[in-house]
Amino acid sequence: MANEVARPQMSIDATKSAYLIILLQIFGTIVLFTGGFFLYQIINAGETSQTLQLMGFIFLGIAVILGLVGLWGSLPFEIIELSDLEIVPSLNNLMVMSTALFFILASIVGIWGSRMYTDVGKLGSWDLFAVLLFSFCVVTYVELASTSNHFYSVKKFAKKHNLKKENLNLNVLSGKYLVWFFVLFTIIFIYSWFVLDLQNVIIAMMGDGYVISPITIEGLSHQFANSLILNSIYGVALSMAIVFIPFTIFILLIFGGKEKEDEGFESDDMM
Amino acid sequence: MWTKKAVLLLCTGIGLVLLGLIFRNLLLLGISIVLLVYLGISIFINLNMMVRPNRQMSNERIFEDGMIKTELQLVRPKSLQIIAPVVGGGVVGLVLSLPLGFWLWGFESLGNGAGFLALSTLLIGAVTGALIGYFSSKGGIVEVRDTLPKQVELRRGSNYTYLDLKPKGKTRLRYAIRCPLKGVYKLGPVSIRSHDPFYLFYSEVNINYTSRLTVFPQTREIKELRLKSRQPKMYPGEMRVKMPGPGYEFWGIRDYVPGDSFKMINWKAFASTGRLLVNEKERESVSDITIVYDAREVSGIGMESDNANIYGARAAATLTQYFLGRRDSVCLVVYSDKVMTIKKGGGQKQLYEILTALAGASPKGDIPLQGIVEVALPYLPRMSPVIVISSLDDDDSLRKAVSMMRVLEFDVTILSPSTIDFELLAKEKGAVQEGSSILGTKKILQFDPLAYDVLRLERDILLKEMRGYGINVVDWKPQTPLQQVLLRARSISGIRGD
Repeated sequence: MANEVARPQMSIDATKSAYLIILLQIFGTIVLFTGGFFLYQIINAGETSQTLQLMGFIFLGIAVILGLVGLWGSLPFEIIELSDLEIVPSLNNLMVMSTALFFILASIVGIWGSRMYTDVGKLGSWDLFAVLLFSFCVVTYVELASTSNHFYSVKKFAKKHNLKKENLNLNVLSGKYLVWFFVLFTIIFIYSWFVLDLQNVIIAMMGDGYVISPITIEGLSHQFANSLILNSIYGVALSMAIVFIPFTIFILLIFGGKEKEDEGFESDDMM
Repeated sequence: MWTKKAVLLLCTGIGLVLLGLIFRNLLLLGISIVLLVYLGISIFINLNMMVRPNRQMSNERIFEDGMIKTELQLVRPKSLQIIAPVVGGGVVGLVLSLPLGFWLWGFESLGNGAGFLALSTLLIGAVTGALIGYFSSKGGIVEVRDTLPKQVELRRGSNYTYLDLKPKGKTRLRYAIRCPLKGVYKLGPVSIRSHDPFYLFYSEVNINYTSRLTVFPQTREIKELRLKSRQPKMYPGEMRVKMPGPGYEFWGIRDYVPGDSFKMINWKAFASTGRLLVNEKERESVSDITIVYDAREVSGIGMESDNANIYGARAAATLTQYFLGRRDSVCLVVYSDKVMTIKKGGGQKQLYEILTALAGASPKGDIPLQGIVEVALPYLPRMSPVIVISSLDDDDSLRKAVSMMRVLEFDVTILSPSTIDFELLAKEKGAVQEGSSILGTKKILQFDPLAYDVLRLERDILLKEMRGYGINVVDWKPQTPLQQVLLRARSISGIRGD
């Protein structure tokens, strides 16, 4: 007596939106290879690092797992009704294929002994920007991969339950998604650049022209100051701590302790 | 609430920071920065959305296997929901731009320009945040599900939608459900889940808006059931009671007594005998019928669709419809975890009251039959028929109760659905389903037949014992159609009654 749905032969609006999913996949793939280009730039310009091969495998795992997230956690109510076979993306999924291709290539490059930056102090502006672009491309790819999988599962659900346009319109949903994607990812890019470059800000704050420079220079321990002065990777970690710890506290203050409330309606309100 | 995707991304972001520090790798840190910013900004997208539902059903009372059409209208009211996200977004934008503002403000070399730049940065941050808040409040991706009980079957349309609902926007969910099993069901609450465009965070609200749906047990047509009261009532009815009185069927001839109507005089008999003789008719009267329906927990043995509770309710509904159709009075006693009595009465209103009581009688409780006899039956007319619909399981008081009913001179008939057979049926169907889902083959049943043989033997002995009290007992197997069972009850009763 489960809530099963009969499948009368009617037009299915959701399937007409398949091109939007393919568009997302193509877009994601372009982003991925753009990221690959930036990685290539970084590799050519950087210093020795033995971690690229390891990174390749890490990225491969992360990207595939995150790509699956789109299906794994897509529809909160109905995903459980899909069988196990349906939630595994098929091999013709462009995103999964390109992920594997890209990261296997990265791993092969790693095996050939290419080198990467570890010392941030020796990075130029373009190098830092390339690092950001690469990171941004990876995250963008992850988002697009999971979203395309998400919409794919929504489409499958709509097809299975024969939903009409009034119940589920993927065109509207994916259109809205794209608008939000471009707006928010622009902001994300700017803010990420700010965080990545914050260590330069911190260094600038220690400069002569800054009001609190005497306090910072005098107040910091030798080890801590040395870490910043050397412009090492720990400076980036410190920048992250400066931004994200207050940010986390702020989020906890806003969202912490909220209880879920059921909204009740009187019958008079309904009619 | 965080989705699995958000949690995974957060864990990945934190993990990458640690890995980046371990390997002294800027790329890993770079990815973690973008991931955390991505999460941090998405968390502030407004998720709260109020939707007002309005459900309309084609019918609120149906019989089993009936279909109802439902339309759930969802309206997003134009409310003050815009203010909160705009203000919230502005504050968040301000907070996020604070580090940059402070940094700019700190440059002594810029003079007054530093303050201006810092303020401008804060302003830009606040305005950007407010704009995001405004746009997020204008539209919301929302999933709506009208919760249905698991006993109903969705036949057409969908009780689920996934849409972008703008303020003052509305949508409709149209679906048809089939209700194969009796019961009193609740449609709703309406679950609303709104989430950000990246599906990282969601907010879920259950709107406690429900509609009641009563599914009556199915009734069958039966032609005749010769159950009647041996104590006639004063109102004329359809049942002949084997005594002279008002009616249509010939009963006998007797001598004329003053006061008899001239129409009753048998003139042929007068011509042949020379005495005034009158024709007498067989009295036709109404009966008070009592149906005792066992809805104890034990009646739920078997499958949800095939058990003594469901079958018994159908039998009770069919009998009620039949008896009320011939203008008898019907009284219903339902016993489960409590006793519910529908006082005797007739007509359509009585039928609906009894059907509603049967619909709401779900298997629970363990009240013995003796308690029912002690409480309810003394108030019922003596010598009237009592139909007990019970599986007769797990009731030690059964013999005493039956004995008491016989002492009170009730004409007792027991319709006893066999829970042993319901259990076996459930096992068979379960095995077939399991087998077909795995390999497409029928799985061989694995149970000890000896145990069921012993149970059957015990049941047979009990039924014989009941018959020993002078009670009509009908053993009802799930495969036997209701009409056939009632036919057997009729024939047994007919033998006794005639």
